[in-house]
Amino acid sequence: MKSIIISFLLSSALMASCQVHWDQASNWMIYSYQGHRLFRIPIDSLMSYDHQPMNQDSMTAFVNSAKVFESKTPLIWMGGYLATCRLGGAIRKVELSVYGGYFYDEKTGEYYKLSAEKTDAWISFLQDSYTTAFKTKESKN
Amino acid sequence: MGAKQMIAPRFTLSDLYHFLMQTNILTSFRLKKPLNLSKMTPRLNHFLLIIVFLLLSSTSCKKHSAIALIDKTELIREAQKVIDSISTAGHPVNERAAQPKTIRWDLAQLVQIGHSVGISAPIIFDNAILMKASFTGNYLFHLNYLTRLLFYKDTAGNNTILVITAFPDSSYFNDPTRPFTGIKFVEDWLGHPIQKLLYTPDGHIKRYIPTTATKQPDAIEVIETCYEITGYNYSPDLPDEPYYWSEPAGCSTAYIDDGSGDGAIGTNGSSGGGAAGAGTASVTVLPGNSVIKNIAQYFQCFTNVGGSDHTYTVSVCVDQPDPGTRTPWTTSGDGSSGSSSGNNPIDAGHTFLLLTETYGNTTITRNVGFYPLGGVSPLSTTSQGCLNDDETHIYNISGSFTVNGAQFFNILNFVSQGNTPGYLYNLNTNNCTTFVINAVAQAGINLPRTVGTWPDGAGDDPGDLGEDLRENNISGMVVNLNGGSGISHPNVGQCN
Repeated sequence: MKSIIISFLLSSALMASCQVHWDQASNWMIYSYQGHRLFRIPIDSLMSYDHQPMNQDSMTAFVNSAKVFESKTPLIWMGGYLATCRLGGAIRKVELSVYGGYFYDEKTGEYYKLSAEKTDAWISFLQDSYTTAFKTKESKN
Repeated sequence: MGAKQMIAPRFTLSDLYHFLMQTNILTSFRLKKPLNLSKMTPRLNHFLLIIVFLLLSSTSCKKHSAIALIDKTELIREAQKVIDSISTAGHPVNERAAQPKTIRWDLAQLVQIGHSVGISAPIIFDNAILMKASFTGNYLFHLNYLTRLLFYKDTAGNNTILVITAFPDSSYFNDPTRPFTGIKFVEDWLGHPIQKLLYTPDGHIKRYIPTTATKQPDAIEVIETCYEITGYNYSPDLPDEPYYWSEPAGCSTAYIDDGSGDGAIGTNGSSGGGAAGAGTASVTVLPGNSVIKNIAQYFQCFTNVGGSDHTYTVSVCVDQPDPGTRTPWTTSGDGSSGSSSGNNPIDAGHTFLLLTETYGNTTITRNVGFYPLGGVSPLSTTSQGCLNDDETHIYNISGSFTVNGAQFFNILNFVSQGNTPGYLYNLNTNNCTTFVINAVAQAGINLPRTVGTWPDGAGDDPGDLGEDLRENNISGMVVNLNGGSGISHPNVGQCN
């Protein structure tokens, strides 16, 4: 019994330490790329893509309630946005889905889902962030 | 509905609480020290209970008899008339007041305002507006749930319209079962400020009085906190030009407990702006135009008129997961940043519609796609369906058809069901591609249905549909092999 309790406590502590604290993420950037190589672009190549800062307050407000989304099989991707943030002193690459209110953290290989009441606003926010950041520039090309 | 609507008297503890708050009874009977019934004799205890019971019974009867005599429909009609006259006579003075909105009269409730009976109804904003307040932590909340309209006749018999917007503090936000704490803005219909009320955790309601009229507090006992609502907003008319705005919400030293402490205004509303220890308070309004909540409004610019001067075009836009091939899905990579879970998303691509009406110099364009409301996977295939504005979605191939007004509107009618509760997205049987194929079929356009397969499932898919458009000579279709980037097919055209 004692060993079970100790194991439980240890695993709980381990899980807690592994949990990503998205509320501490900063320097959110969105990149001008929407193709199917989204997941394949190495993190050290991202700077070659046009990028713009996102509204930091809004991003923090959205992602701070994100919970790990347990899925037995990979989720279906129907398009999204490429973003990075600074977390724990390192740059982190994150893909933001255009539907469903979830995002994918490449470092942990986990999906994170926003609470249902934030999903609509999140999807709108991402779209507006993208168009605001890149529309003027691309329309000149 | 010619008969008057009578409200059946039904007494609940909640009614009692609101009624007492509205009629100032709680504050009128505020005691210096709390009663401790356990220390009283049983006889006195019973006596007090009887007195309280009689008092409550009489006041509750009074309330219901007054409300029961009111014709709710007539009150609503009167309120609507007043609002119409105000709207045509003046202009909104703040960003919140300027937002297009709908009053949910169907959810209106009769409320007692002093000796008068008024009506309170939630206000729903046409664009999904989300607010953020630093004094509520980092939570986001919908303005819809914070704003109510209150209509009543004042003591002089004048019609009064108030808009009560309430911002919860973090305590109330975390536990809304507790009595409300935060700041309520009371304004007229055009947004002119009338009053600000601070609801504190100790049950006090403080009125905001400009600093010049306030007794100067001791510097040591008060740390002044100034509240300000700041934010940015996106105008639907100018989606590319967000602008910033702010409104003062008063400083803590200017909120004084003047003893009246009534909650007469807006007891059904939510309030906001908790004082607790915040620095400068800010509220951010976030725009909401990607998720299409009101599809009728989204399509309202399209006109269904006869004649040949209006041209209607529907384009089937396909984002193939592996452009130029029938591959129905691809794995999204190996997690180049270090993922080792093998749980990377499956890229299935997407199919959506680009709808355009042109006449004279006018062009109306709308993008619309069908999605699941939540995440789906091959083992969890079903979710409530929802419509999204896909103007930033890329596609690599499309097929366009010119249709007449009737055909065009048949497609719109079909698409409109995408948000209907109970109308489900299914990865195998009703996915985004199926939805588009079925939509254009309403106009007599029969696209090939090549079924693709994937682990644990099969169905219509963008990979196959893209190649079907490329390879088949479909009658009346113009193929575009260049596709569109995320910003090259924006929605165009606004209307009232």
